[in-house]
Amino acid sequence: MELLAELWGYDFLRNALLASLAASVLCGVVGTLMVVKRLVFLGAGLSHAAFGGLGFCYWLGVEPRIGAGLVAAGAALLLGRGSGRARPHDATVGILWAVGMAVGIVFVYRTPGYAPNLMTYLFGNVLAVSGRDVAAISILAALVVAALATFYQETVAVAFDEEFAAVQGVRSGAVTTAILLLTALSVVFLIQLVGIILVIALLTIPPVAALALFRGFRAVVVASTLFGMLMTVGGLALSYALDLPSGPAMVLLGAAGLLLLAAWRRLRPWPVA
Amino acid sequence: MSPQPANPQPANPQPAESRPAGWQPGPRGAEPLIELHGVTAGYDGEPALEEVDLTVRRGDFLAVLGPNGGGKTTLLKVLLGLVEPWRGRVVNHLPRRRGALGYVPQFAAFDRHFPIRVREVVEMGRLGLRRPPRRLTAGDRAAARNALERMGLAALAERHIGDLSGGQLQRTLIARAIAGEPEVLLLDEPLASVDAELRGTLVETLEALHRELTLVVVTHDLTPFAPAVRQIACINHRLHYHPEGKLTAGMLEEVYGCPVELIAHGVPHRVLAPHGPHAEAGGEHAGHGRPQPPAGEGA
Repeated sequence: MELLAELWGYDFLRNALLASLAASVLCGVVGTLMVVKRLVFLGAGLSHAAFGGLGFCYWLGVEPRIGAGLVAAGAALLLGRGSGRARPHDATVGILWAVGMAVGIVFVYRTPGYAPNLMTYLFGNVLAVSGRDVAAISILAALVVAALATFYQETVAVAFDEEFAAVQGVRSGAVTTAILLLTALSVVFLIQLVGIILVIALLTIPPVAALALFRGFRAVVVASTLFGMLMTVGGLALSYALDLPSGPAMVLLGAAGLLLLAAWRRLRPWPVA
Repeated sequence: MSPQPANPQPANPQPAESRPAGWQPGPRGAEPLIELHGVTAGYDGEPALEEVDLTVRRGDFLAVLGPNGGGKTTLLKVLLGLVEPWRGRVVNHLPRRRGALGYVPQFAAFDRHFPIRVREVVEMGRLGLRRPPRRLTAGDRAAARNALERMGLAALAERHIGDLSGGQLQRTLIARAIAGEPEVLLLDEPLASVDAELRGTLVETLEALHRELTLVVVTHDLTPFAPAVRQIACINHRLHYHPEGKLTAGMLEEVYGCPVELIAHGVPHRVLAPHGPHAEAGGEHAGHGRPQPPAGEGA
């Protein structure tokens, strides 16, 4: 507790803490939808594809996250289009993943001078979060919660059984596209905390832990948010106390928590292999 | 009707006096609810249905029988409006509200580990009656509770769907469909994941529902439904309809492409003669002279 009080004393630490809390809401809502709708691989693909836009904007000298956001959203729309179903071919996701990374690396390589911030994008640095970033990620979190609260029935119906939802007149394609877009946006904002490579841990570990303990959708979303808070804030404290990079500290703390949970209760793995 | 009937021809309609009181056995003049006229439909340029004419009338208990890959599910999806026909017309006389067509999909349609309770699944059947964003009312919850009670699931309402047996889950899906107050209930292979000893109970449930609803059951195995159904359509790309619910060896031979034994106790059909080249190709054969999808229209 005193550690937290100490953390609160610093501006950058306060920003890091607030960003972590807002990010946890994304873990709860978007992460749960990703896991139950089996979009985890797609989410990982989006975050890596986003690196293409990131590198391009880096080369241009524009805010890299704009490029990352545009590419991730574009890729999400591309993958969600056509069939109206959220099960794009694995291979397409894999190709987007690799091509995005390749484009990003080429542009970063072509950018004159040393690229000191690149590691930040790959592995994240929550301590580099600005007040504006906190505001942005909080707005996204509020948007996501408002969207779920408003369209709760339709979202759960589509996530559970797209075809039946369509028979009921629910616009399954639109709901799926919205889920994919929010996934893309969340991935881009979470990159700042844990980086491209680790972002998927933040979107999967809390929901998987919640799914192991709770049976109702609302309960899973709430529990997943709380687990996300434990994971991000705890990871932050851990990185401060042990002088570790923050992103890996969060991921490893989450993984340790999941292992403990599995030991405490015979974990029903999700999705079942 | 727990075990299979010993009667070698249970596909015959039951004698009229054993039918539920007050029920009119869907005379051919009964009010048409959904009509298909010359419907050709399919996926990826490959037609699954060809020139299908079918009328579902009020009071029907129609079994759609056919081999796997024969277009049964496509027919269901055309009836549901999920698949647009390439050619032909679908005329729907049902009231223009969602939920007038109740749909009971196969189990495979969803994930049994999804975090959702039985009650919540059944409440989804009310979504079609509400405008976006489709918030459910107290009346919707009462209707869902009523559907749960009718299916004998009231005690399981707060259970997770993963904790249900196959028969309970199937009843949950039926409860979800009837919660929307449908006039026609479409069921896709409703016995596929149900234990043999529970099949009879489920067929009895369907018979009870038939007192109020028009039923269309898609199945590859007619045997368990045989005493209940009133009409039979056999489908293998083309449709053969029998309004009297009477199945003849000739019809089956036409559909399966080989002579089959009418009743083979739980086995979809038993082959009595070697399959010809036509039959071997089954549902997959590319065929010649097949209609092609109109240009610019995919699956």
